[in-house]
Amino acid sequence: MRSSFPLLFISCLSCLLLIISCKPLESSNSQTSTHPEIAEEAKDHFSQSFIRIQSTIKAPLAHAPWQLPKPQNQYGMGVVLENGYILTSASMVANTSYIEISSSDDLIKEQAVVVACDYDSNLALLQSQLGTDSQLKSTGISLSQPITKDDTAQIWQLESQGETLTTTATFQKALMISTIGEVGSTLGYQFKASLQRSSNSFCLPVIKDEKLLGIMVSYRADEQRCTSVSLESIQRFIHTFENNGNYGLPLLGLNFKNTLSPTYRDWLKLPHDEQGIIVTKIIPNSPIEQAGIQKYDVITHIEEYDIDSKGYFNHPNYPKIFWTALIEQAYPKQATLKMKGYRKGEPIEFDVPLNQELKKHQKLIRNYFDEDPLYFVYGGFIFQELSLPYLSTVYGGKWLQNVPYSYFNLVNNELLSDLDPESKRVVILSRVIPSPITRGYTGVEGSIITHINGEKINDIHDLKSQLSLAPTAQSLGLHTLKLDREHQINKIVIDIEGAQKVNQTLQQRGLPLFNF
Amino acid sequence: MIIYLIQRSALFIGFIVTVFSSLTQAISFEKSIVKIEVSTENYDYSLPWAAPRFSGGIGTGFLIGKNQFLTNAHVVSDARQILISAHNVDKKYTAKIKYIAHDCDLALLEIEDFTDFEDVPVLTFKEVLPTLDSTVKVIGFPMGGNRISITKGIVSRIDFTNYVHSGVDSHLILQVDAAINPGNSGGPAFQGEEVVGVAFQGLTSADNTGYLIPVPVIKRFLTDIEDGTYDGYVELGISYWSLEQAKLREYYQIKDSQSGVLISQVMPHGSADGILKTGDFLTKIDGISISNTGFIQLKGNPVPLYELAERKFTGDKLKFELIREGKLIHASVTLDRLKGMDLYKVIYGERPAYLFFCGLAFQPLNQNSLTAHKLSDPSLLQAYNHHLRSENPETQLIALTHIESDLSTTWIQDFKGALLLNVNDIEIVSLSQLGQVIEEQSKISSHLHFEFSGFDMPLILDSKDALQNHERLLKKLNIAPFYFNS
Repeated sequence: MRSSFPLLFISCLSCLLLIISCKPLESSNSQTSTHPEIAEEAKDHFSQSFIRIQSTIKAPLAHAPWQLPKPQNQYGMGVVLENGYILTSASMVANTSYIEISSSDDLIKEQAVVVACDYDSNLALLQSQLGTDSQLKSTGISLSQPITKDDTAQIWQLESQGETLTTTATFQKALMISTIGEVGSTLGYQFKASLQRSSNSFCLPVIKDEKLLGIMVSYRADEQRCTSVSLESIQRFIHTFENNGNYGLPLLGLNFKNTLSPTYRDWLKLPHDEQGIIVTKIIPNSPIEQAGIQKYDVITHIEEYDIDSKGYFNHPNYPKIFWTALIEQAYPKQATLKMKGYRKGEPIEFDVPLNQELKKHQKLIRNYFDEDPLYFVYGGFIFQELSLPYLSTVYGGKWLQNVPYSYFNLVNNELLSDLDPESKRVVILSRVIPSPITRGYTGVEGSIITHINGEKINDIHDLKSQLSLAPTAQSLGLHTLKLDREHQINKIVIDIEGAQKVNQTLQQRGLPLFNF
Repeated sequence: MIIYLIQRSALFIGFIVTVFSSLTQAISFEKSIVKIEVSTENYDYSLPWAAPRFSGGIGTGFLIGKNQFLTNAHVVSDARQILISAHNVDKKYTAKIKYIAHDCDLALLEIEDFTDFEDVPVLTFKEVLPTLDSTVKVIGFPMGGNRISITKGIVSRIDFTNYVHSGVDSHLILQVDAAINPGNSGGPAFQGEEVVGVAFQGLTSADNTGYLIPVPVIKRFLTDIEDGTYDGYVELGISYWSLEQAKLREYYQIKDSQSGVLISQVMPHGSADGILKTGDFLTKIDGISISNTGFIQLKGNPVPLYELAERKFTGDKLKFELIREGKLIHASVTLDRLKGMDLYKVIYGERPAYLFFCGLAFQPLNQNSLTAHKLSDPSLLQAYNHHLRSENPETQLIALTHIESDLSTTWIQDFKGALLLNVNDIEIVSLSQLGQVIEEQSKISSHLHFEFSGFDMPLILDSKDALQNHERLLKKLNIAPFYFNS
């Protein structure tokens, strides 16, 4: 019987296991308890705070953005906040072409628009397109108090006929989870709960004492363990929204290692009673570098907290948690993060700026939430900007092993950095479609384009403007492209007139020549 | 017991339909074909100090000259003992390898006492390649047994393909639809009474595709060993683009009447390095015109220009006519092996080199150590793949392949599988040099700093403690501290 059900539990790119429900199931109620403290009538009223959300995802194809993505529907839930907006997860709204909200009984359906979205915290705010004319009756929910260890909360689900299901979840710990945008990590909660498959379970509200504690975003059925966005993240998100601030979290720009090894401790002259973490790599121009921190400095205290040898600190509310939680605890309230530590045995102190500048300077595009994968077609050559989704699609999960050496060098040295502020993006020749213009060129796919007609190429816009130039008298009617290739011919020449003819035929076949 | 001879990829799996024709009348050369029984010792590269594992297998060989038995290299690779016996004869003769060529999967054996074979006829080779659709008979000892077995098929294709034994070489093959099975390896394929090839591998993914090593490849092997050593295949070390677009020909200043190809890559340290350049337009090779798609006419057949190098030997010259920046130039390339390629070939019959120090085992990076340890560190793999093109491809890449569980190594376990760059700022270029550096530095420096590719922190050992732990662990494990091969 089990195998005939549609697949309900799938993993998503960010390594979180997300629940997806393909269609409502006739499920037995035996596993689920009705919340004992809420009387039926109150529950009816309370259930009006929950909204069904159906979103149609059209995630662009990172390796072939000229192809139309297949639309996929996902079903989740949102919670109406006291300010009237509907809170849900950012993964419910990322790359969506259409979002529909409906009442818990599914009788009223309206189109929704995204009011705010924070991919780092995995949260989004929606409202009905009808605004105040919305027919959806709803009651706003206020935010809960923080949860403590072994405390319980309820995870709410909606069944197809409109009934609510609640499952008791035991809080285990707060932990740092990877952001869906593949940049940094954020505070989340881990619960033990035995959830049942039901509709609208892509993201579910976590409720404590009739107040919102979190949004559940992943569930591992084999371990009966689920993770939710934290209350702190929700508070910060709403605060940012109300104050028209910048969404997202700062990046500090460092690698670090524990101080467990006595050999390292001796070598770094770390006092015996001190713990902390070793800074092992610093991204140039990062907040860490700006603060004056150097490689092999040991950070022992952040703000008022002691950092232990493994990088954890004693959180006032939760069991020990990783030090990166202190970044979002301080941001955006504070402009800097106070760090104390040791350099060659001497005490040091720093104020590390908290900002999101480093994220803006990334050469390698980390996700396609806010931008489309840009491409430009010229005579059968297709150009794109290098991105993480492109690398993992083309070269697989172990892409760092499999990518060409030129990419590896680039990624290994400049993954997050802005070493060369001139160069904004890495433009590659992603594909060569056989055409009279590409004839004879083999093995050039994947090359990095550094110059065209002698001009440096910093992003795909530069490339487009160079290739759109008319031929000059000296150019023989050719564009000359310089490629970053070792021991191989490092230029290709393209016949302009021929390329334009090929472009025409490609356009006639329905391939737009660029998407920006 | 029947043991498959194929060490890699198990290519000969399948059911056999051996055709037993009436032996007495059909075969006049049955005595020339011998069964080869091999006892092997295989070293475990994941445990380099361990004794080899003993195993064995059966293959076929045939007499091609006075005390010269030809077979496949893979039949006798890693051999500890080789025994030869003739069809229907009980007696076994001890044999040894005279020459072995892993790159074309051929070996020549000789036996200690040739007397009993003095009167056995020597098999001869057919000078011309068989034609497509012509019939061949493959004779050998598939799946063991004391009597020869014959299968029959036609030549389905003549092509270049990968020779799986070394892992990286490609040469000419004859594809036949005769059933070829384990034990057939090294056996002759006949047309009439002449040998047209040696059975050596097959495809598991397709039915009835057996591969034969054709006579040109065999002849090349026999010519190569005439001087007493096998040098192996030479490489030209270039890639090319065809220059068919009129505009591009104009750009590279090539006249319409000139045919040839544009060099797109010159392998660093290859035969052509420093002589031919990327962007050169090759028009002739050894006086033969090159077509716009890179083909040349050889004995009336169009073949890729690389094939001319296939038939040459170390030290031979290839003459080129080319156009560089509009000028006609003549160049001569002295051919040699691309030595850096050895890094990517499977190693046979060699005891693995290692250096053990204080619970850390270092090994040179090669195809065997890479696969035995399933090394997967991206920095290491990228360096390995790029080494052929690096500045010093002759240097060894040294990997930290094993860390013995011990209190002295408990904090450094995460360095396992990493590529060693330097020790106390001294660049490491070989395993024996690493041994020297550790020995010297542990005496003169208080600490040893090992730096690894892709690791932000060095691995640090206290010299005094390390030396003590080293002695203790050697005793405990009862192993030699190193083995360096030449």
